Amino acid sequence: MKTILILSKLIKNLELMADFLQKQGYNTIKASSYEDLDKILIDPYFDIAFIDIAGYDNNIWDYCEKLRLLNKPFYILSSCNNPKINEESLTRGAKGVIVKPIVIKEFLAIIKSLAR
Amino acid sequence: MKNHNKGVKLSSGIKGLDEILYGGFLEYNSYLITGGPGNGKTTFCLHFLEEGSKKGEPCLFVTLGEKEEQIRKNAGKLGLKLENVHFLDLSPSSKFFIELEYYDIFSPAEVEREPVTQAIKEKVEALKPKRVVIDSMTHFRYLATDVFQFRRQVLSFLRFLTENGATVLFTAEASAEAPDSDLRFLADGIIELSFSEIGRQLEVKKYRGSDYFPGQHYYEIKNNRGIVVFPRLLFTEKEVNINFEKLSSGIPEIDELLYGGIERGTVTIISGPSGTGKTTLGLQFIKEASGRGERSVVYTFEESVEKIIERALSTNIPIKSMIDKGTLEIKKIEPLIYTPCSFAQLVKEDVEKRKTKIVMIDSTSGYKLSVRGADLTTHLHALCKYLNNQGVTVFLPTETKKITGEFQIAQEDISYLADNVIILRYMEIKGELRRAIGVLKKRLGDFEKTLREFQITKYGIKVGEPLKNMQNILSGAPISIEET
Repeated sequence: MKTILILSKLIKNLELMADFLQKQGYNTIKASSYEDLDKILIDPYFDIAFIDIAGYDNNIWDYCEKLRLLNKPFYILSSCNNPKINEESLTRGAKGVIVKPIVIKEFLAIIKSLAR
Repeated sequence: MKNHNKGVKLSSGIKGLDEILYGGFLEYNSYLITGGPGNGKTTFCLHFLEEGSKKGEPCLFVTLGEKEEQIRKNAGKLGLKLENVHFLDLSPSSKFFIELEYYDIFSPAEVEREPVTQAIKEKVEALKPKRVVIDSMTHFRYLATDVFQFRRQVLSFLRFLTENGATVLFTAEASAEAPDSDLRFLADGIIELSFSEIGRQLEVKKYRGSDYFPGQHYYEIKNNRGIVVFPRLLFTEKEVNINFEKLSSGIPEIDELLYGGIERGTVTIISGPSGTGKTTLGLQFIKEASGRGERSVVYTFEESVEKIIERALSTNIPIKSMIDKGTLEIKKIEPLIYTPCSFAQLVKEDVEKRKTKIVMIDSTSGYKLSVRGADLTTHLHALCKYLNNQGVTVFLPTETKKITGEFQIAQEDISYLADNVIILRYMEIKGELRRAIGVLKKRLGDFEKTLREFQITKYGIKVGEPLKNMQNILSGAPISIEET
């Protein structure tokens, strides 16, 4: 069973995403701060990551670099479709940017393709 | 209540609204209550549920905006008793803000629709309510991914409720961004509420399967009474058997002018400039009615009750004993409190409950100034017609602006309302201001075409012989025929 890391400042976002992914048959690891992320990255036992960048400072991109170096496929979740964010995300190794709110069908397709 | 249609109707809990809906809402149908903020949509719905709970019916209020506690508190202030009404409170709690319940990862449609639907389904299946209120359906718009889904969801939701035995009222908060036009197609009936400077008005815009009383009706929201609806008067109200007997004025000369008097159940305009004695003449007919033991009501818009009493006493009209006997009531109508419909309701109730035979609206210009509303002549016409149909005789003292000179019956074109027109005019004779009386119109019979001198003395009204030796009386400056 694949394990998915989800990062978001909003607790409710983490809960909803975790519930949804668990219903789809995935394990989840939740993180809401850099401290949480630091601990998880010591032993990165997840397969995929979704990083909701809303509410984080520029240091978030360093963590994206770390994920890239760890060869962990990840997507950036953003509140808006911003060319700068898109460019930065791809430069830092993201597979792509998903604009919130997430369309469930598209999201499922992305997870399945990443899981393969 | 007239049964205009097949099918069982549930009372709305508001007497006036039931009259407009010819009995209430058709069972197992759904109705949209729409209007801007502050129009009383929720209160209309609460009356509906209160009525059901009084009859022991299971009633359910689904709130998606206001908290249950707040609704109960507001209902209490309006005198509504909701102890037996069940609530399903789906409004957001303060936790949503304080405990970071906010989310943006999925759309509300994905996250909230299922728990909301489930909660309603469970409650409806457990309670089997006969009456359901959804306040407001607009909330479901935000739980749908698109317009098509919204329409399907609402239709299916309403069917679920009605198939489970409920009659449903639902509110909508229409705005420029989210108009409620789609909900209008889905509902079996629509009641539209509006508020303007002339008052609160409601109109039934649609009522599948039933007739209804069309047009704008006024309503008020009152503490301890809730909503009071005043259906506008309909000309075709049931007629009583009217006996067009002639009512004497008690002054032989006036009766001669009128060939015996005015007919019962007619409208008489008493037209004249200020101070000519219009009210006194009306009171003279009322005095005679009092002698016959008939009850009259004077609605005074301008003068105080005390002034009218004082004036009547000074002209030998025993007004105090008439009031004491109960054959006369004088009601002061405070300005800008009544709408045309609420005033009409006041008159109607008095006529029906207390068997009033004569009504004097003193005066028509006072009515127009004091009663809020548009198209007052039409409303006054409707009221007079209703009173005629009930066999009530109506007097309308009507002021003309010009003291003398160019002849005029009234400032506004209201003469068509009248079956009879009695005119009072000033005339100047040898430097003395005197009054004249005449009859201009009498729909149900002939009348004397001459003018006579009219005097108000401490012994009462005195009317002279026909002024046959004068002409140009209506100009205010008559000349003797001998002089010409």
